[in-house]
Amino acid sequence: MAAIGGMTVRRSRRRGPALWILTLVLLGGLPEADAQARVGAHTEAKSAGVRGFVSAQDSPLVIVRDWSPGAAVVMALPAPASGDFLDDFVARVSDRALLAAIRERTIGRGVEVTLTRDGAARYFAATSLSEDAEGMFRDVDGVFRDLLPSRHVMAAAGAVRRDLEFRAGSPKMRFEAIFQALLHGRDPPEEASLPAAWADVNATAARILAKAPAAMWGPPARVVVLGARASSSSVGGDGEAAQRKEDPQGPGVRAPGRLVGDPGRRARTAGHMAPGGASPVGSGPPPTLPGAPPWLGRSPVPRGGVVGQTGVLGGLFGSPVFQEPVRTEIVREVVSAWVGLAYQLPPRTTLFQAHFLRLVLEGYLELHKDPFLYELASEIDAGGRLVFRFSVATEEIAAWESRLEEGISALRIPEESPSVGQLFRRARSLWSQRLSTPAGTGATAAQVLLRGGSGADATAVVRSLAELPAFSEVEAIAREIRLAVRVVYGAPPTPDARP
Amino acid sequence: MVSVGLALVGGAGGFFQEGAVRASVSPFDPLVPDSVLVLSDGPTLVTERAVGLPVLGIRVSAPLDPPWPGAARVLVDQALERSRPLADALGSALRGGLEAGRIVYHVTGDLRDADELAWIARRLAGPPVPDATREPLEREAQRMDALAETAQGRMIVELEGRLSPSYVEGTVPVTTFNDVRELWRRSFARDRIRVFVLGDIPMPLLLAELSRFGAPPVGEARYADPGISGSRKVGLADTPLYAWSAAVFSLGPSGDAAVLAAVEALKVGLRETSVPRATLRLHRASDGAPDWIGITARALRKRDADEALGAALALMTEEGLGPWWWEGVALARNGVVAQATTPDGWLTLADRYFSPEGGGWIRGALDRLESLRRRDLDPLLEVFRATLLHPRIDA
Repeated sequence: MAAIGGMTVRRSRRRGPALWILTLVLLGGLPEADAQARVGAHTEAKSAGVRGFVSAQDSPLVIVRDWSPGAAVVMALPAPASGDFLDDFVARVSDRALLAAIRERTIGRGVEVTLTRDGAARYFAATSLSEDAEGMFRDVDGVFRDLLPSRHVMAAAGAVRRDLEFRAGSPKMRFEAIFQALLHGRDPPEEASLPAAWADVNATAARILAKAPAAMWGPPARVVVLGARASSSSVGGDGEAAQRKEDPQGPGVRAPGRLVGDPGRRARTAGHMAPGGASPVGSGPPPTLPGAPPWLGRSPVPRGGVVGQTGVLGGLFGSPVFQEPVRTEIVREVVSAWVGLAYQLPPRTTLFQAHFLRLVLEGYLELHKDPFLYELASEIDAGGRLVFRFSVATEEIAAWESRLEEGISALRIPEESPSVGQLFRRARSLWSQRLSTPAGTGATAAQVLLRGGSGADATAVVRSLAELPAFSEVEAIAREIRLAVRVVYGAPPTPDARP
Repeated sequence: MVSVGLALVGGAGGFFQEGAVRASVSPFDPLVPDSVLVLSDGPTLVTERAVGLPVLGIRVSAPLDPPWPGAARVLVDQALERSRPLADALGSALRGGLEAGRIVYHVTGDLRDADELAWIARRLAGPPVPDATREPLEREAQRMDALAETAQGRMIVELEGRLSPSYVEGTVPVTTFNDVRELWRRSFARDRIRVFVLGDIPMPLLLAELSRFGAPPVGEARYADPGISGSRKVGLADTPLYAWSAAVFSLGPSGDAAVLAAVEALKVGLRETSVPRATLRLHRASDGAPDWIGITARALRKRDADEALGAALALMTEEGLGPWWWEGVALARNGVVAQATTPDGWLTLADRYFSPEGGGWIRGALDRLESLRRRDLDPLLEVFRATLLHPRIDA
């Protein structure tokens, strides 16, 4: 405690980020040249209260935020590439065992561990105080490098199998199997129960136990997010001085407009959706269904209102806007239908732009929400597609399919849609909230790394909230967006769909 | 600029000349707010200048005084309903409810929407409107009926009833609009409100936006609780499928570090307790009575339910809870740390560990969790023995 000008000031006695980062560099050995700009200790990108340190090749990306009481270690593994249920089962068992192992390794350290999944990755986030980040990272990283304890794997295999058996046969699960197959360019599976291999818990466990997670799934994307303020005072005995060295403005300069960063920076460093020339599924010709089982209905064009909608849109813009792929329709008597739509984004789209577009469209659907919509989810998948899933009353399927397309149309001509400006604002707020926690920041940065982006790219995305994408950018993306997959499970029977 | 008197809290204390902003609790530790300003005839403003945080979070908190949880739920319900359209349009997160004996509202959104977020916060703390309150009143009546139909619900009804001096067993309060307005007038008196602000917002803007709202101040005067205006009898419905047994008790203030650890230890202990013919559940007994904890046992036969409850209560000794104590301490610390890393959680914890005299706050709670010893369990067990009740929740 110190008295400064009549104020009581308490200084933290915790270790600082500079020491921390140095440790990480030493852990990783000497930096080596790397095509992805992971070279050279401490390439620093600083703006908007966020600094990204990219250090040695084997080091995690360390993001230091001016203010944060907590730190997060985020390890992200890619989603299984096949989209196959068996691979998904193995991934779920492995994830559950990993989670248990991380919790066991970090018990007593004050670490909360969570697992989230989306279409692109599985994110393991360990959260603790900034001063405990170093130990937390060592523990979590160690779990990925070691073989998993067999008791965790066996327990996880049993639990996941019980869970899947309970849900097997549900409309949602059947819809998901078909949607995943089409998203991954495969034939839809037979409508049967679970593959027999699922029952073999021992074989699954043996596969997982054979290799450490980092060897089985490939090295995880590793991101550490920590706060500067809690830990700045221990470096050289003067926290403020140390902080000033990192931040020429000094910690006392806290203008509210500081969130707005260098306007040109994003353009120079933004990570792109499909790096390395990857050819995401769906960018080619529409998926075909050779040998599709007879229960799968197929219609070359959407039914009902969607036909007219597609035609109108094509006419408006002078070219067919939605080149409709085969619409996969599974006729089932269900209370609520499941609809899956995947749109291919232009390859130049950045991850930030893609998420922003997703949030804007989600907002459009929320705006037109009715009691017939039961569930709505959206994501950017590993193939760089904008994926929507919703559950609706069967009689409202056509209306909800076309509603999303109406939203895309509204973005193409924003001047004619007064709500678009408000939707931008809403999306901005939701994105800010995602980046407001260390775990959210870490998961977002890890997503960029997993897609092949560099540390600088990841830091740029984290700083992205300094600027909104311009209307014109979103408008251009919306104009080029293309429907890649459409699946409807539970459509009411119609004469053309009946066998 | 509003003319206000400011008091330094956490430093030397006392009043300073009007308009001066001198208060600073800790400018370095993010687990301790930067400043606490007690505004003359206005709210207490607790701020943390979070540089680089992309969002602004505001928590408005008022004491539940008089202790009328039903009226408070109606007050919160109508306030959220009136404010939700704007919050949704902004994409901001909005919530409200009863926490640790206080009525609270949270709004969190993009920092650049600060004006609107502050406006939503003021609107949330505004007076109830008769038209907007009609449906929430109906919903509360339905909620009480629904609670009275379930065994666990009856435990909550009984605990909330005991908060009022006019409580008659087997009745539930009937909340009217006048009760809701009276509760607002007392709880949301300007000088009783706490406003917590987390974000990179300059103090003058905060003072302009958040220094004057709520009901006229009441000063230090406190009211005697007249009891809610009406009540009605509810019958205990038969639960033919199951027999129940229940216990409610307190261990002390719900935010106390030792209590947090003991509750986590109890959860672990209950998971490890073998009661093959019954189901045990741990409940936070009620939003309105946050310091109470409930355990219910459900079985096909009353004897099995009683036995299971007995096994659960056997944990509430030094020998029973001791083996799980350290795991409980670790889990409690994990929970507090994880909560502190989110804006919403930080605001919640800052209110829970509000320490106008300094030295406490979230850092203090964590320090206390780290310094807990086995002997800290003993006073809790004494509180348990002194408060243990067996409410009749079965017909």
